[in-house]
Order: sequence, then structure tokens, then C-alpha cells
Amino acid sequence: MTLLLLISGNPEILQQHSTDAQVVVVKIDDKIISQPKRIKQLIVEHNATAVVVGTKELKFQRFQIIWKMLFFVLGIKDAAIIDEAGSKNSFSVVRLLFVELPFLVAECIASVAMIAWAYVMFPILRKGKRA
Amino acid sequence: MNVLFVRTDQYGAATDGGSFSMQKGMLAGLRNCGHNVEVVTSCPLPVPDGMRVHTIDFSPLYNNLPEVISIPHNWKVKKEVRGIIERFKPDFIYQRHSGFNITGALIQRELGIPYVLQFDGSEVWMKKNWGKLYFEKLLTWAEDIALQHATAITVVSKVMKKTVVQLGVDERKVFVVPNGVDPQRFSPTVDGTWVREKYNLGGKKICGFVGTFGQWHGVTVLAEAVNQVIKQDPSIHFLFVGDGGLRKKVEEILGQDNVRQYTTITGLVKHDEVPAHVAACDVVTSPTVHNPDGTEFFGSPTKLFEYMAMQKPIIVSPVGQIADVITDGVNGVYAKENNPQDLAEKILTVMNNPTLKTTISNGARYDAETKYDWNVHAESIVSAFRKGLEVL
Repeated sequence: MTLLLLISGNPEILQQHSTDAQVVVVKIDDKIISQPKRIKQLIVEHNATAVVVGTKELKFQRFQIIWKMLFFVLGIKDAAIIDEAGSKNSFSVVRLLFVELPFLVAECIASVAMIAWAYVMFPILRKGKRA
Repeated sequence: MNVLFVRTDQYGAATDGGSFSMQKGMLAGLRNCGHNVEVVTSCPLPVPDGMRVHTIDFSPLYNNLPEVISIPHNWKVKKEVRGIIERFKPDFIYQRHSGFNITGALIQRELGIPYVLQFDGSEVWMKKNWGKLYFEKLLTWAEDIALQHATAITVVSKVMKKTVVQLGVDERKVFVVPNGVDPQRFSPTVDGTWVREKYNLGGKKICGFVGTFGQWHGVTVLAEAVNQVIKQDPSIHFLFVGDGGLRKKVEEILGQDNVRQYTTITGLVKHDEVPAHVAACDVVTSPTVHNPDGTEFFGSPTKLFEYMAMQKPIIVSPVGQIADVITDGVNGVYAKENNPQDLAEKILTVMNNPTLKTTISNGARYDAETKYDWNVHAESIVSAFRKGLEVL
């Protein structure tokens, strides 16, 4: 049984990209990513052996590495993020640990630098305070 | 005039909901009024056929953490839009406001191109109330920068104008431009027969709702009203067109009241198919509610104007701008806000009163054509820009 967590897009088209004949579609808000327990609950509830996160277009889907971290933490081996066009970002522990997590660390460093920079730049651009 | 529309927030690939219909209508309106329009965006954006779109992609480096992505994107857009500006020579930029978005201000400072800010709501307020906010001070500063540098600011309602003025903006450069409709596409001539056939609605009396099941749509109030309507008149069927955050809650209410069989929830439908869905209804509703924190509803529901143009009898709760657009008994009927009992009574009253139905539906269509056509909306934006220049 594959659990299709539908963030956006057409569920019928997304189901066609699944190799599993049995797919359960659950529409979710992408904020659910901050609730791992809820995701675990959905997996148990549907007795899912595989999880697919469905989105309209992969290119615009944020938090893909965070999703993979969740798959890892929840012990899901068969997982992927897919889109309507059939593009697929598959989950692999090796890729997560050796490629994606280092990338996420780089992103965190860049983000901290960006926030610090914004704390300097925004007050310069801002004229006066709110009434 | 040459108008460059800039919408560069990260909203993903889904383009459902009123804000996208609004933008497409507004862009078509600008073009219909003889203006040259090009679009800069960072996500897929529905635009009128043949309109030139420039896509500036987000950096893949900031894709896994909240909020940060929009900050570096400002400078990326400013850099990449330079070539477009040099070629297109816009008279002004029309920028949609979004979180941490100061592109208009950066372009104005560096290239001297004035911009009109489309301000549909305070991002600080929306993130505090509807989402999560991690960098409140930065977001507040960004919003200030966007508001302060704009030549003019368009808002959709008087309530929103009041908010913007309270944020310290000169009242003279804030202009109320309500949403609108394309009265040719949303027309009483549209046939809704196939929708009735699709959902096996036959000759039932249909009470409809269209929306993304958002907090302010009042869709749960309508769900609570179903039971009370059905007790009086079981020949009425409810057509909920759309999907969204409150759908589960709506289904729970209908299940608890054991009235699921008197309702159809279509899920999301393509915007092109919305007119036929509205056409399938005998009466339509907009039971909008104030914000959960008690503040006044500040939006301008696109669906209201679409209902009006379809010449449908409308029942609304008179909150915020809706009370300005709809006059009780003239182009719609009022039901008390957040009051399922009153809403049910009004649905029954309108549904069973052919004279009232004709009067309010004709009034609604007349207003849609004369006051709320997207062309009128588009000219108001250009007029706001001209008046904003005078204030400078």
C-alpha cells in the first residue's frame, strides 16, 4: 500500500506515476511537515509500506530535504517526492547523508549570513519608524 | 502606458483561488484599456493569452528553510529585471506585495522607475494569524520599505486602506481598488447543465458556494445552515465548489448533522469551469466572517463579483467591503454574520421568492457590468499611479 500525501496537483495524474496498484490519497497542507507524529499516524492508519509526497511541479516544491529527513527519522525506506509531469526525487539514505545533509548545512550557513545581512540592510533602506 | 507587473513571491506551482483570477483579470483589463503589459514572476502565473512573461527562478540554495528564500531573491530580481526595463521602458511597475518583498523599492532606488504597490494585506498580520513568523522585525521592516518607497498603493477595501494609513503611510497615496470580474466570461448566458448532470443534481433547487474553504469564507457557517434548511425544504441541495483548509471541518459538520446526502463537495475545479458551476446554482452564498482575532474582514472576495456578473441571487454577510458592494434587497440579501440560523432563513426566503430573486439578480448584474468590470479596475490602477505622482 502506497500513501500519497498530496500537497498540490491532480491526485489522479499523480497516482498514475505510482508503481503500486494500491494507492491511498491523503490531502495535506505542507505545514504538516512540522508534525512528524501526524505523518507517522497517517502511515500507521493506512498501513502504508511506501510514502509518496505529491506536488504539482517538483521545481517549486520547498522543503524537499526536510521531507527526506522525516522519511529517515520515521524509518520509511520506500519514499519519494513526485510531480504531475512524472519527475521524481527519490529517497535514499546514502544520498541523504552524504549529499543532501551537507547541502542543508551549507544552506543553514548561507541563511544565517543572509539574515544577518538583512538586519544591516533593511534599517538602511527603511525611512523612519511605523506610526 | 507601459506597465511591468512584478509578482515574485514563492507560492509554489498551484494557481487556484481568487488571487490568481484577480491577477489574470487585472492584466487583461490593463491590456483591454490599451496599455502594454509584461509580467515578471518566479512561479507559474496564469496570464492572458499572448502576454509576455519573464520568469526569474529562485536560488536553489534557500529551499529548505522558511522565510529566508525571499530575502536574497529581492536582489536577484533587481539584477535580472534591469535588461527587461531597459528594453520595455515601463512607465511604472505594478508590484504585488508579499513577505520580505522589497523588489519595487530596490528597483525604484537604483533605476528610478516608480512603482505602485498592490497591497492585499499586511504580511506581518497574516503570518501572525494564519501562519508562522520567525523574523517579525525583519518582516516589519521589509513591509515598511515596500510601503514607503511606493508612488501609490492600491488596496482592495476601505478596511485595508485604514490599516495601511495606520502603518504610517500618507493617506493621499492609498487608493481603494476593489476586485472585479470579466462580465463576458461570467455571464448569465453560461450553461450549467453539464454540471447538474455531472453531479446528478437533476432539477433540484441548488444553493451554491464557491471558494477555497479559507478561514474568512464562512463555509462552516453554511455547513451548519444546511440542516436547518433541509428541515424546512428537503428539495434544496447544496453545492460546495472548491477545496481547502476547512473542508474536513465542513465534512465533519455535515456528517454530524446527517445531511451529507443533501450536499455535493466538488473539490477544486479549474477556474475556466467556475462559471458553469455558478450557472448550475439557483442561489449563491458568500457567508464571509470577520477574522478569528476579531479584526474586521479586509478582503474583496472575487467570487462575489463573479456571482454578481452571473446574475445570480446572492446571500451575503455584510462584513467589510461586502456591505459596500451589496445593498440589502437591491443586488443581494443580507444574512447576519456567523449566524447559521439567519443564513438558513435567508436561503429559504430567497429560494422561494421569484420576484425577489429577479430583482436582486438583475441589480447584481447591472453593478458587475458598470462598476466592477476588470477594465474599470485596471483604469483605477493607472489613475492611482497618476494621482500618486501628484502627491510626491
